[in-house]
Amino acid sequence: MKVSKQPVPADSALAQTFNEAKCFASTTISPKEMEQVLRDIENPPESTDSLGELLREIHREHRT
Amino acid sequence: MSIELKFFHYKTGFVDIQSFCAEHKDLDRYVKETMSQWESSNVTRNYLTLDVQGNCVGVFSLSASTLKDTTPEVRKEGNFPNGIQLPTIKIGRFVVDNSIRGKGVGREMLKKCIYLFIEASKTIGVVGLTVDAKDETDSQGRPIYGYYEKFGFKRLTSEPQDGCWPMILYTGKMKKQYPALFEQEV
Repeated sequence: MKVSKQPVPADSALAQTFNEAKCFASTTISPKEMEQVLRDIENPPESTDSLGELLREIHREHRT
Repeated sequence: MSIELKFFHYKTGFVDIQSFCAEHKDLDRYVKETMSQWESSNVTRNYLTLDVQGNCVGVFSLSASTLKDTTPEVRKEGNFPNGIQLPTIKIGRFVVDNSIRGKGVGREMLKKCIYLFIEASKTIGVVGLTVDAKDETDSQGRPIYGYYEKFGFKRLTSEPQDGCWPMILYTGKMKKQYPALFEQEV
């Protein structure tokens, strides 16, 4: 398969779209904040009543 | 639920979105100008919220995303030379029409977001649902991030970044609270 070596022009509409949307591609935090995230993943923090209510509603509405 | 709503995946020309008004310059511009471009470029998946008359009263978007840290010097030779990067799904835009605020539309939209997130998380590994809550207050002077905190999102940073508070709702938290929602036969 031939691979085109022609780069996508940086000022193309598509390149501009991806550039504007780059904030969606990632969230950057400090290493210290990441350590907290890893701790939270290991031991998820307590939930809230409002979240519990939403999850119950989702289960009820989408139960087959 | 106090209001009857329907949700549809956005398609160009499906419904009139030009009358939509959040009274927020960036968000209105997104709905009226940018959304169709980003949808067709597969950058975001956009969902319209319609009332019983078929009016668009809310829009939200979802994208695959990454939660990463800035690589500290000490890690360059360590286990994570490029820093840690975790897969997430991001709520990119979340906006309710100004005329219908305070009637529970946002709550129903967030419920739909979480449902779509849970369904995606059954087939693709993601550690959480993220959102960048604007560092602004609502009409009653309450911080926007407080709305998300109420539903279990946690602020990721101690200060806002570029006018927003990055927040996350952990997959593990939802799974722990309601494991039945994550069961799936493949």
